Amino acid sequence: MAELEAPAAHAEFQYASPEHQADTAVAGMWLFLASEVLFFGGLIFVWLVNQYGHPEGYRRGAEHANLLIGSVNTLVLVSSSFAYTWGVQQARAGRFRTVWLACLVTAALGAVFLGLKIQEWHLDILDGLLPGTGFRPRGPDWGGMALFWSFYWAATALHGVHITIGIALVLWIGWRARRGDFTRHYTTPVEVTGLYWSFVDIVWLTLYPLIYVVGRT
Amino acid sequence: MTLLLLWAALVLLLGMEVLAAVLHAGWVAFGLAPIMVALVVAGFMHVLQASPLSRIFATSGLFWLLILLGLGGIDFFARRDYPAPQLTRSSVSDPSLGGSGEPGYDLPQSHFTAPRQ
Repeated sequence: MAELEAPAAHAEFQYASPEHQADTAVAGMWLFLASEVLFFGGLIFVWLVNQYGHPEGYRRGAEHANLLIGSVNTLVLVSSSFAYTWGVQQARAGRFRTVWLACLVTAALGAVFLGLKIQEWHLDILDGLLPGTGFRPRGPDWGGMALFWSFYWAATALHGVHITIGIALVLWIGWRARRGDFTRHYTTPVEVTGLYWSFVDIVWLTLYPLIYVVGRT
Repeated sequence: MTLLLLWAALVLLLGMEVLAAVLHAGWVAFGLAPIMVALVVAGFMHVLQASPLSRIFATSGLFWLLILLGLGGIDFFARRDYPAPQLTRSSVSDPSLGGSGEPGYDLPQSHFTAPRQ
């Protein structure tokens, strides 16, 4: 009878090897992200249907969206994904103090995104763009404009929740990197968190044109 | 270096989207946004270097999204709407409003039945 081998470092008993464990964790995150695609897919579907039914209202609604803040926020989020992916590379090279720095930069850029978004929401409310009795825009296809702004609030709020969770995760990974939890051969949590952060970036890269760009036609 | 080039490409594409919005050619974003998403998935999320199972899950996400948008959209985008007539009080049928007194039909109007321009 063959003797059982002791599991290698960071490999739980149910995995054949540390690589198997890492691959499983990464695949698990991809499966979760696939479910998130459907979560945001429903929102995109709502945009498509209402854009089809109310092209004029959607076009006029998008004209009120703050293109400057939306564009700056896109730049900030793309840069944060770049910073974190650079941190993943540093983790693979065993430079964990740099990983801590990359996490701080990423979280700071995420906080800038949220800060600008909150400022944008504030301006939107002042402009009477919150659908309801105080909704101020008037004109043809008023209902379509209100539908556009309902989509805007739902989509940006849900994305904001994801950004907030992402910032917490990134700071947690940075703290663990600083504490010395990772080795050159064990960077799975760093990589899995990077997948989540980049996904949140992708969601914004999809929402940005739907809210700020396509309507300006 | 590759990462920096990727970031520069994303910034360039973002610049093109902003330009399209300013020039009122926003529909261009339908072509640019998928490229940006593909760059992030390939460059930042390293999907091509991931295990086969991860790639299957990533592809499944896209596949299910297409089913959601495609099958869901068929109903809305390919529907020929024949609104059922319904009895209502109208100026045609209501004597008190100057009508004939015969039951009249007002077709319910919705954004799907309204004439499109």
